[in-house]
Amino acid sequence: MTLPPPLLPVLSDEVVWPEFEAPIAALGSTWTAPSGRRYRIAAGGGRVLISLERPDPSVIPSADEIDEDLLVLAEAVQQAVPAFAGDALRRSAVAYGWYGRPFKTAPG
Amino acid sequence: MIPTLPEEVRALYPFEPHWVNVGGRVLHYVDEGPRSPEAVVLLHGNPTWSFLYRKIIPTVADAGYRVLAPDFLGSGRSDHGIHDDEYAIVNHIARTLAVLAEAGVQRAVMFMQDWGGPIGMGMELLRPGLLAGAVLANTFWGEASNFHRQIFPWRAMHAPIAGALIFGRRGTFIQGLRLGGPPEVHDGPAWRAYGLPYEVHNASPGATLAWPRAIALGPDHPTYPLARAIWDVMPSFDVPTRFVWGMADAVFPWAEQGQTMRERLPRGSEHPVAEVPEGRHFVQEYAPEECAQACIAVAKEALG
Repeated sequence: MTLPPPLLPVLSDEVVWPEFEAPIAALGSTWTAPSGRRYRIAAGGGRVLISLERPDPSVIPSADEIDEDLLVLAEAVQQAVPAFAGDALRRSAVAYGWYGRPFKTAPG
Repeated sequence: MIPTLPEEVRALYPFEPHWVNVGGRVLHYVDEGPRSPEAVVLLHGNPTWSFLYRKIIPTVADAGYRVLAPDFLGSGRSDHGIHDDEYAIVNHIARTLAVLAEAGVQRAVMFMQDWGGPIGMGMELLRPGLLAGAVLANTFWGEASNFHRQIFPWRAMHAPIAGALIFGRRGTFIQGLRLGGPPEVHDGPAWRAYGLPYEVHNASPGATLAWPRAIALGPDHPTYPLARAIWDVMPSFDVPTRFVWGMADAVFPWAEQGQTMRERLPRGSEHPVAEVPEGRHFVQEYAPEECAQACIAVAKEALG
């Protein structure tokens, strides 16, 4: 018997705007970041929960690595919403200093 | 809650804490000056807390007035909520009314900046007669400004997933202080103080993410009925009123927000606007003396 990989919840959002529901649903239940890390996505009822799959439970990526994955995910979602744009999100986040501060401690 | 402040923060903000349990959440407020049922109440916004009023509180208290400065849920030394619903503006209003009731305040001169406007005017909406006088500073009534309607940078930053990442996991909305505050608060003890609520509650956005999402963008938005009700009732606020405005504020430009409310409030035009030319959004940091003197002038007129 093969057990599913343990999950580490890394982000929850209780307010999914209506225009974001379809792009988030289109991601499916599993999303693979460019880093190769895989995330489970549970969405519905205006909420979304994103959890990191940990095939090797002894390995925990750094919070910054997870955040970079999540920013890529956020870019992908905004790219699919009319009038939003993924690359503009990253540029704004960097330009306004809202992205780039290192974590002090790991989540979880 | 933050029961003890770091020494470097307490050196700038040497006020005794006061605590009240409202609905299972412990809220903090500053209460200085003589005990009286009439007080000057200083209302902050996002992402600040009563620390924003540290230079204003002593001046107003020394003028003989009781001064209250609450920290809203998810801000300052107060508890954080667990669910977004706790941060609905009507809940902030109800909790702040409970704080004033606990403190025995029956009439208030309110200094309202940022979300302090909808919360202060919302309190008068729910409890008519509470508002004895008003000082409005870089604030609004709950409906989106032109800045708020822009997707970049504003709406994209707090959109689903991006908002929980940037405001929550990275806790960096506090960076807004660098955009809307003077260089003195960009580092050192003041910067530490403003970041403290999110340093302690690591990875929790506190109220910072809920506030922008609470801005009424249109009739379908949950805050819209409240914002419209405030707009409708504003002409009945027949109390001494003054404006202090940071004229370099990109979020609430004077011509768009301040002038509109000045024309809407029955006594909004009785006095010249205290304009702070270099002042951005957090005008209290640019011109604390002007803010304090506006409070005192309104208090003299309203409370004697």
